[in-house]
Amino acid sequence: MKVYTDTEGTSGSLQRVLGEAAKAEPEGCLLVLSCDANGFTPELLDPILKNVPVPIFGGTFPAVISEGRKMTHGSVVVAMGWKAQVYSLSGMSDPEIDFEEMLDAQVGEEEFKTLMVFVDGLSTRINAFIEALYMIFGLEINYVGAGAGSASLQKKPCLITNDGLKGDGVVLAALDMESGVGVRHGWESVSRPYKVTESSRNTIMSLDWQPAFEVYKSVVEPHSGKSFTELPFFDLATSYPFGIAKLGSERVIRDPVSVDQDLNIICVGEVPVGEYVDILHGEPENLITATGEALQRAWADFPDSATPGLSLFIDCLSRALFLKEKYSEELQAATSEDVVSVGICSIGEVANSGKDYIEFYNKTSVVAFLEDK
Amino acid sequence: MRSFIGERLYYEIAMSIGNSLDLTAMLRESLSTYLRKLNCLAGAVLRCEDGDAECRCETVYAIPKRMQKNSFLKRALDEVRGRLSEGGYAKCLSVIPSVEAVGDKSYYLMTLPGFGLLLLVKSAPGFSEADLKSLAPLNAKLANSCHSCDVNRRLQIEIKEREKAERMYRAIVDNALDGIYQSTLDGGYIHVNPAIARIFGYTSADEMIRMVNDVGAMHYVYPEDRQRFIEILLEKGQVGGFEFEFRKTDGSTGWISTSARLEVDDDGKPLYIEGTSKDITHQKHAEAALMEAKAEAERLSQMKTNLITMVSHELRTPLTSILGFAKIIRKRLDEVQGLDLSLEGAAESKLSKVGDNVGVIITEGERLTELINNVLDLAKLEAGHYEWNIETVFMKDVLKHSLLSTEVLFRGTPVALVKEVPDDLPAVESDHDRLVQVTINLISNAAKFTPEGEVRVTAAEEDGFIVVRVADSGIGVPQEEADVIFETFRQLGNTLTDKPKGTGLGLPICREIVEHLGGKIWLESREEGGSVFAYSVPVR
Repeated sequence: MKVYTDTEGTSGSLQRVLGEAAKAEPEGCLLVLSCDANGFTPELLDPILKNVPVPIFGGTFPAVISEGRKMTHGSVVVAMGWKAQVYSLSGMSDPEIDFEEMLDAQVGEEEFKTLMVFVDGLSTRINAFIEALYMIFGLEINYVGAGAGSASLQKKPCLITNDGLKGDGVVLAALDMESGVGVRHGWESVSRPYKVTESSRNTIMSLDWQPAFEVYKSVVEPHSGKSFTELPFFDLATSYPFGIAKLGSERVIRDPVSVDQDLNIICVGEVPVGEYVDILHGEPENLITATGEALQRAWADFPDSATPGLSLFIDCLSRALFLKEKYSEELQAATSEDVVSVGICSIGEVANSGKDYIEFYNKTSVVAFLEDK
Repeated sequence: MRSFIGERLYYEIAMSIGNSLDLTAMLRESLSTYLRKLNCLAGAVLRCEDGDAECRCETVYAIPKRMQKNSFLKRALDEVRGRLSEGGYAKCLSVIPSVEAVGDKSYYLMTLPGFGLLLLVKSAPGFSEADLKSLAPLNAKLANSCHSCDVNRRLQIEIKEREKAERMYRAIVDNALDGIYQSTLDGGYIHVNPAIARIFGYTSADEMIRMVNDVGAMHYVYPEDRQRFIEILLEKGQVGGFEFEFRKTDGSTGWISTSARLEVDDDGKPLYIEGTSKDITHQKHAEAALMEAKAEAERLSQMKTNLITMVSHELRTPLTSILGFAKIIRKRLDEVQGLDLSLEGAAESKLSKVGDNVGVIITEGERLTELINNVLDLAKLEAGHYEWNIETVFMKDVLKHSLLSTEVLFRGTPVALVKEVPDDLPAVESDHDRLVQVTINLISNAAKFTPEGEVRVTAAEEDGFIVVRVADSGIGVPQEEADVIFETFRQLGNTLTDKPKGTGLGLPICREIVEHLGGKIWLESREEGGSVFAYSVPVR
């Protein structure tokens, strides 16, 4: 695998890099990770993407990681020697779509080992789609992917496909490539569990039949010693995500990002009624340690018989915002000295190493080693 | 803490079970919750049943749907099926929950009591014994839900079949040409089909149900008919072919024939009436027309009889004079011819010819008299004006009388009249003179159509009847004419070329007489030629 980095962040520079990468792997495919701040629009990018002669998949993200550094401008293109079957699906927020049926109908019967999944991180039915992925393909394969989009949480086209720049959808790349995946977050519970009594997809209205924000505030303010009246919601909430429990595994994080006019809490990712959630808090050291564990797990999960060609680090943007100046330590913890490493700061993470139930995570570190060809 | 988390997870699993009565939808939610909450890699629900010969096992739902070549779930399912086919479901239950480890993955087999098995694939760490025990009641709940879904599926199939049958019966009722109804005893309708609504003049069944609250008052021309109808139903429980005159919504009237039964409850208390109705207005009109036509025909028949009687009488009066005077003339001629007048040859020849001609007048006159008498007899018989004298009759006397009367026909002919009549024939209740008439007619016919040979008259008691047979060795009756000889004016042979030997009314008159007296008359075949006419009269 070969990594091409474009630091200019213009459509022209991306076109040039794409051309070089496609030339390097004319029988393979390209993973494209671009920064949201490049300001790409379908008008700018579609003519370029449609002319790429090999399958492409990826997205635009709040930040891209290359050579151990976080970039907010530019793109990273990974030329892979693997043939990829790429599927671009739309309607990720459409409540009428049965994703299981859609996947069953549209995805071919080919055998593959790794499915790369890039989804519009601000779509409202990501969990339903992830559930459908599991229903159809199970965990016989590894999943690696992320939610694309903007740190501003404004909805816009953010998925890179051969058909152009797309929004509210998902791009899947099925590759007959070995991989090793590690997932950890390091957040710990600071509250008792609360039952989600009223919610609508990613909006929590009530916990234990109490207004969600009141419950949340009653835990976060005493714990942090700060008040939501003094700080913007996001600034304080970024340190106090929700955690959904499951047996024998870390909780699945749901990241509260804002409150609406009715003081309902809006999260990245769905929080179904009936789930129990804890309010979590993380210490920077714990989070960085967790990232190191994710790297180790990915390495352990990678087959001995295969040769890694790339280390892909998918880290939630909120972790970068939470860790601030310590984020470089997180990047360092996720970097393997022997393998070329690239990454993204994402709006949610999709991962499974074949050992745990597949989830759409928030505030989580995912490290994946991808086999070279 | 782990225990508390576990309880929460089990609670969430429990909440996901049984939320649908569709098995696939129910398992889609509950099995995926099992897997998500228990952090399992794959799972399947199997329906198992021990059959007579082998264990039936079916994967009713599995996650994931698509299994690759080396799928762990696929291998696990194959292994479970192998175990079931070897030992059966019951034996399998005795060793579960069970766990089979392959590498870092394990598959757990748990019972779904009364339904089948639950298979869960999990990576390390696996389930603890406490986990498996905690799952048992959830699995029982899942099994009950699966069973309920199966029952519901069968129920849905049954409902669909019933709906289909109901649609079929509904179509039969709705498309029936006859009216079908359910009504209350006080004259309201519970259900009617379109046909009965049409009969009464309503645009729809609904309209009829809505509008009619007292059918007796609204649609019976004579409300007392309705009262009588209800009385019969209450008394007998059912009524068939009850006819009444009804009034339509437009005021016109017609006739209905209805058959109905009274539905009662367990205590015999009347609930409602259900039945069918047929508009018989056209039939009634046709019947009335037929009655009218019959009366007209009878009137015409009477007129015909009267005419025949009158004409016959008017013919017989002059004929009696003609015949009487012809006989006087012949007597005079016989007297003249008896005198020795020494007439010339020409005169004697002419006198002889006059004698012959008078003979013809007398013969034809007598034949005409017989015809008139027969016509009068037949007319009387058909009109029912024949006078009968029913008394105790001894057939021996009847036959003796008949034979004496007809002996003269055989004198000087090569035909012998043979009589075989036993002395002990029982008496009959009949008309002596008419039986003599019939017997003489048959013997006379035999004499007419037998040039030589014999005419044999026999009588015997057979099965409660006295059967008289007149057998002759004459020309016989061709097979093609055997069926028509008892019809009026039908004679044997060609009536255009053959000289008629009778009126053609004798046998029809015989048939009328014999049938009136309770017997039959018929023609029997005779192998040696000739014919056998027979009649029967019932023994008293």
